[in-house]
Amino acid sequence: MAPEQRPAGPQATAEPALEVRELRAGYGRITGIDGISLTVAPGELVALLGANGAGKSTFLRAISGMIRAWSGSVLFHGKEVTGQRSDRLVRSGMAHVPEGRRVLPTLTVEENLRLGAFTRRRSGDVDADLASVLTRFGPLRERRNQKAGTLSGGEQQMLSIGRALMARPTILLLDEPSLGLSPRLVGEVFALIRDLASEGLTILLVEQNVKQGLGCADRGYLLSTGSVVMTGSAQELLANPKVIDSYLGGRGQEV
Amino acid sequence: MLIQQLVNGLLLGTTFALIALSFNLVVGALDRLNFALGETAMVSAICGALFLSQLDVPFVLAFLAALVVGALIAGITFLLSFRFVSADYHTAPILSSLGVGLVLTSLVTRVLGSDQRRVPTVLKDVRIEVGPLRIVGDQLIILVVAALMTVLLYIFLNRTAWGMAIRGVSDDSDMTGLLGVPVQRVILLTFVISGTLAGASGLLTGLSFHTVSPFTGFETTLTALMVIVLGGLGNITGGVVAALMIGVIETLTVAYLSATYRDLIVFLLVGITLVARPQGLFTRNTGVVGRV
Repeated sequence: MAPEQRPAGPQATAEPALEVRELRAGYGRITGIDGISLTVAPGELVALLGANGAGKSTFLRAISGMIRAWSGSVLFHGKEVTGQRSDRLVRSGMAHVPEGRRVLPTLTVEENLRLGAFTRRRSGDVDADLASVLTRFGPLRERRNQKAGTLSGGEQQMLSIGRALMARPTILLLDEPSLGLSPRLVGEVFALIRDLASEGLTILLVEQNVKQGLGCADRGYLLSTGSVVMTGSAQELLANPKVIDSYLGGRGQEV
Repeated sequence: MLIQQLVNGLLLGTTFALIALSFNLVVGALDRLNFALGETAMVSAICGALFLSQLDVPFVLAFLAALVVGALIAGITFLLSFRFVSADYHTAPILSSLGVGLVLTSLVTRVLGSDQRRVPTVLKDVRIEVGPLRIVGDQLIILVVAALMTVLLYIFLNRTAWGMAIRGVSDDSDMTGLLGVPVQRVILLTFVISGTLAGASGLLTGLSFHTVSPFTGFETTLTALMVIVLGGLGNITGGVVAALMIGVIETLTVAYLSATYRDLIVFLLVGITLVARPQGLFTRNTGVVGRV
């Protein structure tokens, strides 16, 4: 492996939780991502940023086995997992909360959460985890016997993140968790993500909202038309004039 | 004897309900119809009848044999017509499963002959009489077994991890996979359960007429289609209600009009439903029409 320039820090020497090398994937003949490399250290919160259509979701889908990668490789805690089925990846500790929330609408809130623990269904502590998720997400507790399809957008987002936590993942792939939510709820979702990160969960966050995304991340990757165009620590990126010009609405301007 | 006809109709309806459940489970899992389920029911019934007449085993054993045969055939149908058939061709599983049905019918007629098989009476001495109403022992068996299987299915779907997985796959299979559920195994399980229900329906129908013919497979499929269209495609509860309705309507038509009008009236009813309420009588989901 070629020596790679990584930002110096406490995790710089640790084996990455997730390492993606030159991943290419797409739909039909249309290339979605064209050779993306990325690492996420254990406990790190990495944001993958870019405009609509930059390939962010495709990237996550190719990692979590929803679509087949054309080439490149994915290493999860040093183990090659390229092209592995989603359910195996969940078993080894990867949870993917896809774009658009995707709660199972005809199942109740509790059933959605319990299904999130499908891989651990024979371990005795599912009930305890259910209780702790319902404590963390108060509004879900009141609606635990309600069909998930009847929840509001914010509640569905909470449910889909809570459901992913039920698998006790070591890494969480979050795809646009703030999409379609009111500004107040967006704030809540990002606060939640920060909490999860501070509890030691490794997170790869995909966001269109560069400011919010970098606001809570340790490092960021900027994507444009399927390739990484810039990477660095969150502070570096937020201070970079190019980032300010193209993603944050120009110098001195508020978004 | 209206009350007697109503009861007979409901009893006929319970066997329809089982086969409708069988079809609806597969619709839920894959948004596809398994057109071989009628023949699956027929083969299971013939096997059950042979067990009863040739080996003289108790009905319970013959019934279990029918369930196993149904489960096996449905599992094999899944692998042959669905699992490895490209999802890009929506008609491929339809034609392929129709083909499996044809093969099953000719296999049975080649190997076992085209004779009708007798299903002997099981409970000879049991009968319930309430005023003019009379229910014989075998009708009781049909009622109890069909009800028991329906209740067990509900419990399984609502109370177990695999049952919830089946409902999850029915809602959104990709998402359910992302939760760690092995989707293809869940679909195989759904087919196996659906085959079990088809087998039960086959032998119970045989028991109610005391005969099983190797040529009723496709007829069963047609009846099931009528029921699930009426009840709403993929709507499990709607299917059960529609099955009881069609059972009653068929029985009343035969009793008060003529047997020749039986299918005509049911088809008319379904035709009207398709025009007026294409989502089925008991479904609110209007997007369901485009699913098959």
